[in-house]
Amino acid sequence: MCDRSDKLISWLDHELPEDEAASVQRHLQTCAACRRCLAAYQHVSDSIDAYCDAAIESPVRQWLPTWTPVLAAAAAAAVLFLVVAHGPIARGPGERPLPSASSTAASSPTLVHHNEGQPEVRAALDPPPVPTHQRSRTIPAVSPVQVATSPLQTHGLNSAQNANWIPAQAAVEIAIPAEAMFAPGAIPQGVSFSAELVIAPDGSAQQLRLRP
Amino acid sequence: MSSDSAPLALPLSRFASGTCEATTLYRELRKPLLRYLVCLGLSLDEAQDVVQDAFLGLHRHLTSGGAQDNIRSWVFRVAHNQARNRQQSYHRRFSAPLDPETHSAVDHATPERALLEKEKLTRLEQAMTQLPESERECLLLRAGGLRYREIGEVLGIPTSTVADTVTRAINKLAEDCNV
Repeated sequence: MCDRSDKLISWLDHELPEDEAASVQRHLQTCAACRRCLAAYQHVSDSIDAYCDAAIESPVRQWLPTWTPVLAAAAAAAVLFLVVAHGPIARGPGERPLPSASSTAASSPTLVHHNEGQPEVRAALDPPPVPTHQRSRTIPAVSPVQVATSPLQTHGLNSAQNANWIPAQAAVEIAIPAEAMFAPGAIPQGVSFSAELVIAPDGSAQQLRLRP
Repeated sequence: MSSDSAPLALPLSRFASGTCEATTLYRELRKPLLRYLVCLGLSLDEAQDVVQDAFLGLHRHLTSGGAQDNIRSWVFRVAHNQARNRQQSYHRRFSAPLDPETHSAVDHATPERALLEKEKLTRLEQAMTQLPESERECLLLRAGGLRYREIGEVLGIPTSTVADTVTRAINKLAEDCNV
């Protein structure tokens, strides 16, 4: 093997100093063995690229258009935390397991209910705990601020059980325009995302995931 | 991520500063980062979480006046370290081969050609499995578009060592799997 062949990969990667790269280039014009090596190295490099592409080939969900919405989602999740944490804990018989319209509004005065009638609340009792990414909700960047929840699902509990029931997990949809949370220009127009916040039975935040 | 994560405590006035640069970097590096992390063995969900955390860290770094040199390697290093913290996932890729059906990056011009390409990727994968971890990481970071200097910063090794490691690894692959 030619003694210049150990420089070929660095040459291929444009990692050699200029004078050394020129020397290798001149050498390649006269050395067929190095040209074959170079072709093989290039082929390996292309194959590694193809391998990396194949590794990520499993369906990729559409990603955030920019990373900045993550911050907005974190703030939205903080509000969600307030709503959920102050709702399901410490309630008496006959009360709803999740915050009512008035309690939600009291938790966060900046929120305006999306629905005029009875607020809808979606809660899930174990089992089955739904994977957090399946509970994601898209939060459009709209105005005014919205809070939307969905009907309670009892999962086979009778009404008496349901009256005293405290959910292990709950999901509440909240939509907050970015303009309400951040400085002008901080969030690009038309950006939407969702924040999934899992609340522990003691009211603490267990997990936060941000999704497009 | 827990509720006491820093983004929740960031002052609003700081959200806009550093955003433009970080957004540009995000667009440039998101896919290479995801590819690198998935090749290290993280699931796509895990990889997305790590990328997200890395860019949140970058935002904090920039808004707190952190150094802006070598940001690309900074982001890769943060992501790399987080991947290493998920050791179970980290080693999964090379203990569980790629599903042949996912080899859609291969040339499907003809069935024969597609078969050959799949076999080639399978041989490459087997050869990659035999490489020491440092060589594999260097190759994957190189495939992510990082320069040798940047790879060295990510892995904490000298640039000359990166050059030697990459050369050694590619020579092995060229000999072992005849791709």
